Amino acid sequence: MGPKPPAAGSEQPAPTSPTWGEPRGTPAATPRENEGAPPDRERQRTSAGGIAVVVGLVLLGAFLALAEGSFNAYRLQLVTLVAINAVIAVGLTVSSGFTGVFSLGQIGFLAIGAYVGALLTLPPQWKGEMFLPGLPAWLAGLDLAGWPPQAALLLACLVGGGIAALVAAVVGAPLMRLSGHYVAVATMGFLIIVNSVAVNWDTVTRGARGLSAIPTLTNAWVAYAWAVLAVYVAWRLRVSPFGRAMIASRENLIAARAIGVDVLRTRLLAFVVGAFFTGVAGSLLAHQIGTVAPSAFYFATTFNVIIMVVLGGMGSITGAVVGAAILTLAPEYLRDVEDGMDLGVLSFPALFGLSQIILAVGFILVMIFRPQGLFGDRELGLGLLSRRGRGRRTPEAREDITPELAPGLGEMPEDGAGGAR
Amino acid sequence: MNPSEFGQQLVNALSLGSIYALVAVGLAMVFGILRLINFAHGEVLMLGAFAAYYAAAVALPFWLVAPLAVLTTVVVGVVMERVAYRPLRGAPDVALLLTSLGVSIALQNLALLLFGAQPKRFPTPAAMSGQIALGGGVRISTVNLVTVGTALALMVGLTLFVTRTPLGLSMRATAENALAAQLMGINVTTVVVTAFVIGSGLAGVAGLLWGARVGRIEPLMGFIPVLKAFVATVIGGFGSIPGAVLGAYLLGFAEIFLVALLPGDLTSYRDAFIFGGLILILLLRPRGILGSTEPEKI
Repeated sequence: MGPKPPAAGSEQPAPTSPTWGEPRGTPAATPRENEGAPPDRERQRTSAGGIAVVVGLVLLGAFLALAEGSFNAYRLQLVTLVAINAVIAVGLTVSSGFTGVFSLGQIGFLAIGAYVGALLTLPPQWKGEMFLPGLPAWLAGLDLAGWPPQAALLLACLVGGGIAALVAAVVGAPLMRLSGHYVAVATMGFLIIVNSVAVNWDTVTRGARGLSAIPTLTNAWVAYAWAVLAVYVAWRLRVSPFGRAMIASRENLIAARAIGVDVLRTRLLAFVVGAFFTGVAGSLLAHQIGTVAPSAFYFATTFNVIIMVVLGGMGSITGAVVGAAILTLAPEYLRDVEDGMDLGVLSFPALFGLSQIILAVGFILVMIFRPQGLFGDRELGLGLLSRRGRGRRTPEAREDITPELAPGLGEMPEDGAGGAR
Repeated sequence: MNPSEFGQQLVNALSLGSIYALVAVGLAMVFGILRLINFAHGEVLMLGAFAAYYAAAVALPFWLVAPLAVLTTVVVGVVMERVAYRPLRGAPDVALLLTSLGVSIALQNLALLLFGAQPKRFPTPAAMSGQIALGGGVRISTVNLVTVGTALALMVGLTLFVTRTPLGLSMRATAENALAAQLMGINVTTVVVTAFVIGSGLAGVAGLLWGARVGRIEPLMGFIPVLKAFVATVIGGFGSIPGAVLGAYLLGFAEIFLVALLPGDLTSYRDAFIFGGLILILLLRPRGILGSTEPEKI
């Protein structure tokens, strides 16, 4: 899905180049890569962008140092959770926002990452205590207590994300052939299967009771490091030939295939990258809360992550991060409403579930009145300096498409799902 | 499995399939016309069951409770269409799907807020809670009998409606090609509202039957039936009403006999098998058995 694109650009065939690398007229044509942009301006832009990134990272570090020093444990957890949710939302943005292949199964990868990570770092005596006879001996006896905590967490994240990515590759290879509703339904089926396995595989997952006593190794620094990495990878991917192919196949499947995009491979790449980061986030989450239970990885969470991404704007990395921050922090304020309020004259009783209702209704309103979300497809990533994407097509990019060169282009239907019907 | 056990399971499967069919028809109808997968359909069912509970709580007789419950679901369905889906007509498919997910979550939590999370005992009328002995040691519960009978009667009625009445024909025409139907003077809005009225009414009936079958009701009860009905519509082919009914009965049989035939420790994985099957069908035969929609495949 995503906002309706302008028709031009997405159908523009790359006229000469056999590869995807040439940005001429491809939808993600950014001012920076645009051939029409004068080189010196480009250099300025790049260095300005670099400075913005450095400044941003320094500010983030300063904020984290401040938060660590002055926030109480609960608020610090919340700050950390923002980053973890951002990783999940960026993952979904890559696998669904870029390609338009809407996955309802993302949280299945979160579950995989969480369980795998937890089983790696759980101390052996606890694995014995919780009675998990299904574990292979080496895993049951694996003891990372001797490792530096952060190295153990890194391993848990990498393996958790890696296995999630592996599962995504296996599951995605057939599923990414589907489009539209069909892929949504099929990925939902995947989520239900993962949940069913987590609930029933007692000897490994401890069933509905879940795993507990996972060492709480995640801190704000690690979470934000992963979030920054996820954003960076997503952004590099977005401006790479693969990313352009993803956007192209989202905007017009037939046109994308006509210029030689291997749609299946493109979608699969996005799916696997998204699954990797979601798996990493799962591991981070497990090591933040210290427990993992199947109920945490089901439709409610799925819906929350979808709201993050849709609110931020499908396909926008900035949007995913902002959406994650809003959706993580807003319930904290809504909880006050839920607990009841006393405004002197008016006093409201405690209303359990109200915050979810407010979120859901808010989501419906966004779908109706601003389906493109806060950012649509645009990025405000590098400090307002290089607004990229379709939202601000530069004049140079427009000039690429002249009626003489591409007759009939303007009349093409603006149907984002054109090929998917 | 001995013959009498088999007979028992057969009736059980038919009854389960009937409930799925009642839910699936509403899903398929709305999908056929709007290309909307209405996740909130399960909440319509749930609200029907709760309407029955509260109607019975004020000591209304069951012959009044049932129509009241169905009326409630019809109103819910129509309001849902007007408020959430009509403003989105023409939006991308996935936008509709996500909105229905939002409606579903909102209604679930509204129900939690109003009715509480504690399950309530469904007021099954005494006449429906007995058992009838058939020959050969087969005993079937009255609920199952009533379920199958009600579903069959409603399916016959529905078939007559969509094949014999002008409105039914308009519905099929719109499902076939909305634009052409509109050009032929069919009021698409009327058709959409009709689909929601019928679908929600059937979901209300399904809610009553599900309540009587399970014995208790709670705000999240709509989730499982709608997922299963959903699988049924996929098996039968998205948007095809006869396909949905056929798929629902197939699913009912698959579920009951999977549990009966699978080795003990695998039965709890039933849902994993069902949804694995769903994925296979989507991949191998995305049109389903009777579906007419174009497959969305690359």
